[in-house]
Amino acid sequence: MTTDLQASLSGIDRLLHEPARLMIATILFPLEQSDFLYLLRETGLTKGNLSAHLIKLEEAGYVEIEKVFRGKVPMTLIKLSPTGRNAFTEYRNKLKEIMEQIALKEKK
Amino acid sequence: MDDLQISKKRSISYWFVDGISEIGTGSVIAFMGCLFLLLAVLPHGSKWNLVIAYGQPVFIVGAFYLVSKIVRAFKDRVTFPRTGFVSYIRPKINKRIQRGVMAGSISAAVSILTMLISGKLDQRFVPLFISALLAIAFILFGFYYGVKRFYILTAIILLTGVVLFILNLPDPLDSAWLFLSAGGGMICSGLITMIHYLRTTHPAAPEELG
Repeated sequence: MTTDLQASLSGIDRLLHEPARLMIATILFPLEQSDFLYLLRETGLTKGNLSAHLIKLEEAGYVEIEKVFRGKVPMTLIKLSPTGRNAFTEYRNKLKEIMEQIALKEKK
Repeated sequence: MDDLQISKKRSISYWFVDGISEIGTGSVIAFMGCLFLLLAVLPHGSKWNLVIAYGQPVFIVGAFYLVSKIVRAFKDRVTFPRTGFVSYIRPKINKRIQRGVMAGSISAAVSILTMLISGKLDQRFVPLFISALLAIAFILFGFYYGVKRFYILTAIILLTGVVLFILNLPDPLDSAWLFLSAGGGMICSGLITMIHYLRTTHPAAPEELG
């Protein structure tokens, strides 16, 4: 493996690199916000699994979670923070860079 | 199309998952058709004929406003408790102004083009021309929102335009039937979608709310 590729791979955001968290970030990126139920249905994760990943993302400052009431019904609203949006954009750019380097290597 | 664009399209198409937006928009379009029908039926130059002719824009804007409230209320009470709530990123204010100006310019251009062409064309071509414009709009909506059934509506509208061309009805009866068909098609499409949605989903259990 070339040193450039090694450097790119080691620089990848491991928090977002996990498939479930990547899925959550991908779903949230085009939205202003969604509720827990929408994420649950879209990701297909279990409630516990989704909660655990959201907590990790919240601890890293990538998502903001707010518990509100709609009438008497509780609702958990989730949105990507500006930090989370930047991290997701950087992650995508990093992945593109890695794929380009692999493609270059294969041509050689 | 990359993964993010697929995700964005899926998020946008969620707005149409319950069919209520189509029912709402279809109702307004059908209402426009009803206004044209009234213009055809009421004596030319009568008080009500003039009220409808000049008040049309106000009635249509009012109808859109009322429908937007009904759609929102339905989503709050039925859709969001079943499959979840989303809100979409609103573009920044200058981008909204840009879009408004572009939409206004396109509408004005289409109106001018319609007037020019309908002035030169035989009246029977006008519904065909308008149905072609509506069909283009539906194709664009279908592509942008990722809702495939809009392509079926495109076919219905084009077929209606062809039928009206063959029947050669007098103005504004031809426009009335065109808008009634387009609106009716959207309402039917929306109802089928809504019935399917209500049958395949259920209100979320409290533990699913997070």
